Amino acid sequence: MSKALPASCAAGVVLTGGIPVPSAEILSSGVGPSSGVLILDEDEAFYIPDTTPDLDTTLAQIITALTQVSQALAQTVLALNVLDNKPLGALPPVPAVTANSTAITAAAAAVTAATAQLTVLKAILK
Amino acid sequence: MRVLVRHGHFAFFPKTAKEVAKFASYFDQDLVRVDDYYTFESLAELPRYSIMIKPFGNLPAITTYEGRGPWEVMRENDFVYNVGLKLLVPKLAVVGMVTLLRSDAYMICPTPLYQPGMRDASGRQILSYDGEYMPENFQLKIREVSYE
Repeated sequence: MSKALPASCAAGVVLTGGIPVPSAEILSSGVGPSSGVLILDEDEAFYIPDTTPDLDTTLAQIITALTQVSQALAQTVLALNVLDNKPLGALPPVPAVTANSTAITAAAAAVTAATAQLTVLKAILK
Repeated sequence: MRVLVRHGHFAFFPKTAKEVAKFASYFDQDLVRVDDYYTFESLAELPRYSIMIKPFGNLPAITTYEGRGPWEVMRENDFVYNVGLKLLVPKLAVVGMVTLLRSDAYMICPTPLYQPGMRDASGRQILSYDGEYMPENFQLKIREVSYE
């Protein structure tokens, strides 16, 4: 039979009721601060963090990145259609590259930013 | 009334409610029901786990441990209940010796209750025992003892 107690962890130190439990084995990365559960089983102690916030943040970043990729692809299609619809004749065509490439570049930058945020999150997993 | 002492923790199994009342009156200590047994008030509140340095009863625990009952936690922390003080004490703080008198299938204790941690004739600390408290003559008949 085991006993579960509410606990927290910061910098690899597990606390329950404000008391450190140095013997607790942390069953996660344990780098970022977290709250979770301390499981006692005879002379063994295990800390299991609630990693839902990590997962929530990860999914939010992935959704952001995928949205930006989708927008960039849509903008690319739009740009290609503009090229197809270029008027023929003596007058020079209206420039279309800048307007389209700006939106595509912005989307690429947003994807890069999301990647950077996910890299940071990976380093501080609970 | 059966008296079961496990690692310094007391559990009483009365046959009648009257036994509980007489015992409480004689020892000036209330007994509290826990599961299928009665015990002293301060023992009834003990959890079945301890966190090192966090108070376990009236003492800071010396180890982190989870057990099937508070008696296992007391064993790991080397605590016993002191009947006189009505508190937990380190088992090494209990001094004194009691000679148990052999009588048929029992050992007769000269005191109505045997304080766990007291030493027998061999000098070893008795920390657990199983016995019968006889309220009519305030006598404790012990069936078996254990040193852990």
